[in-house]
Amino acid sequence: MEEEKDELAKFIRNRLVQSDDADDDWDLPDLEVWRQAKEQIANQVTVSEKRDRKWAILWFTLALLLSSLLYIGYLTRKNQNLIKQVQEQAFAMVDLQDHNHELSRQLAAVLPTPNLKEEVDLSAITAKVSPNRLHQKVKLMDVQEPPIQPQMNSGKEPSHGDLKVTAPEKSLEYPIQVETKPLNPALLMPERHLLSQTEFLRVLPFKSRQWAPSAVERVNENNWEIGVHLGLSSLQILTAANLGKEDNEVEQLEQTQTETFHLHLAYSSKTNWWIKAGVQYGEYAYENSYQLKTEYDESKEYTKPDGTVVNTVQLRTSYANLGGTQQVEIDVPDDADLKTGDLTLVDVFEKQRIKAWQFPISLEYRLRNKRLGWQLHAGLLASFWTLEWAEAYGTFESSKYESAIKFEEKLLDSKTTQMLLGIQGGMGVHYQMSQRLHLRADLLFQYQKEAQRQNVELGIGYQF
Amino acid sequence: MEKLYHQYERYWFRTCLRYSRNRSEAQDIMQEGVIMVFRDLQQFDPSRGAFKSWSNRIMINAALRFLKKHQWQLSFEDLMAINKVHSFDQRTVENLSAKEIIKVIQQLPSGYRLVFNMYEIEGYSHREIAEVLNISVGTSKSQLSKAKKMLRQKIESLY
Repeated sequence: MEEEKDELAKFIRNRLVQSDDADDDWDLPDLEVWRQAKEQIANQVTVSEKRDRKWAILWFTLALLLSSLLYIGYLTRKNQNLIKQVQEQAFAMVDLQDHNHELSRQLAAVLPTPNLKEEVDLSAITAKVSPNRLHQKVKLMDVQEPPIQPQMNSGKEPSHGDLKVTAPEKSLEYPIQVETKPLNPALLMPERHLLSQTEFLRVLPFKSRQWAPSAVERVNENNWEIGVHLGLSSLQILTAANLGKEDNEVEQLEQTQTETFHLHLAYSSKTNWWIKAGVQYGEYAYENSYQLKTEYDESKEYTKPDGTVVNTVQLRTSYANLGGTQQVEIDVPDDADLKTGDLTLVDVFEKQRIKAWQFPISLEYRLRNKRLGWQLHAGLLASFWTLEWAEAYGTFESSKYESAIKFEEKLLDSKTTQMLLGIQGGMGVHYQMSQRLHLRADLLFQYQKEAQRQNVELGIGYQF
Repeated sequence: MEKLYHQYERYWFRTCLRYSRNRSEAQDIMQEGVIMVFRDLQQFDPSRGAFKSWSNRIMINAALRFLKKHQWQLSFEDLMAINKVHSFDQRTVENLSAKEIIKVIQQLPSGYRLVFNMYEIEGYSHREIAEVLNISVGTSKSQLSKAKKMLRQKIESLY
């Protein structure tokens, strides 16, 4: 007997391997198979590639975040060095001013000296009060002419910008001539000038900690902001399926990920507070499989024009309240011998796509220390969802036989768009790149009764 | 690409027919398999075997994926007791065409069909089948035995 069975297997194997040239091309697939395969090969995005792409985006985002943090660290260090340099320069300026005072004292000591016959070159006594303001050389000369009057610039009325040197009358035993040059008015008030610089020095460390005071002030004047964000989103929704009866409903919490695009417009009427409105878009794909038990109902059997007997069941599937009821056809072969009440199982596999447009409005609080800052935001959310059926397969199983089921195209009733309301909150960090531009990263939580979503976003904001 | 497809389409489709229940399923498997073949074409190494067997293995993988996805009931339970085994008439079987044989194979329950195809036609061992289908070696053996019995019964019922 065993030999006979092996003979049969051997015969079948041989017969299948032989290529018999069939007349009716029964072993040739329809042309449609190649056409569709070719199409998919051309724009092939396999499941693994999609997964790879998501990972690539995730890695790219992480790399971007990491490089941003490194860049921020580098800039912070550079900034500290600059502050140090500015402080050193400021102290050097004070030293110069002290030196200047010393020179003034020396000058005062020189002026009343008698018998000053030789030309005294005081070029060494150079007062650099400010690198851009004064490099004034004062030269004292021995003059044999009649003594000058305290009023200089022979006959010319002193004007704004002329230096007026007045020596005590009794000390003018010998006439001297002083070369004059127009000076910056600021230098006519040396004490005041010095004071302001000292003050600058005193406040410098505090001010510089706030990056650039003038820039901060200017940023605060920019009340409007526009931003663009790219993100990764994870959406969790409640899905349900039943075969026309509530008692055989299967509920599942499904999760999927996708990339999102987000635009926002913000307005600030108060320092650090922003009100933001925006629009977000994401497309979510779902692959679901349900196994639904039901009792067979002979009364729903009918014969089709081609003579085949079919039974129908109504399959209802929903995604966060979006969904519809489909008429599903089950082939019932002659020898199925199914009776009303027999336990059967319908196994359904569906692919669905949800397009989500979301309109959030939120209040945001931002705080920045130097260039790096953080933000907290909370608000309301209105979403418009559209559901699309992509694919559906199924099988029908009883203890006696199994068959594929067919999904009719038309939906008996459906709800494919709806608006959902919810709340959202989040936090993040931002980095001020320039007076108007900042980079930001946000972690966002959105809650709607029918769905929850978490977003990680990277964006850029422009203030105007 | 098209030339390659037309060269092997008949061969691939026969494999798909053997693993499926009907032509429609076989075409779905074929489409998936063809996509996989052309996607992984760069991975084909001629030194490790012929293209025909490499591509056929991909078709089998596509069939297994399809069946796992769409037929949860790949149960390996005994669907029916086959007690009556008739004597084997070689002449009866010799009249069968490949088309008829495949039709008979398609009528086997999924579990029987898979194990029979993998063991008898493709030449997998029971251990390999057990690993791929996540069943025990004993189940694989018993499925094969029952598949052969059922096959004989169905062939005999044709005449």
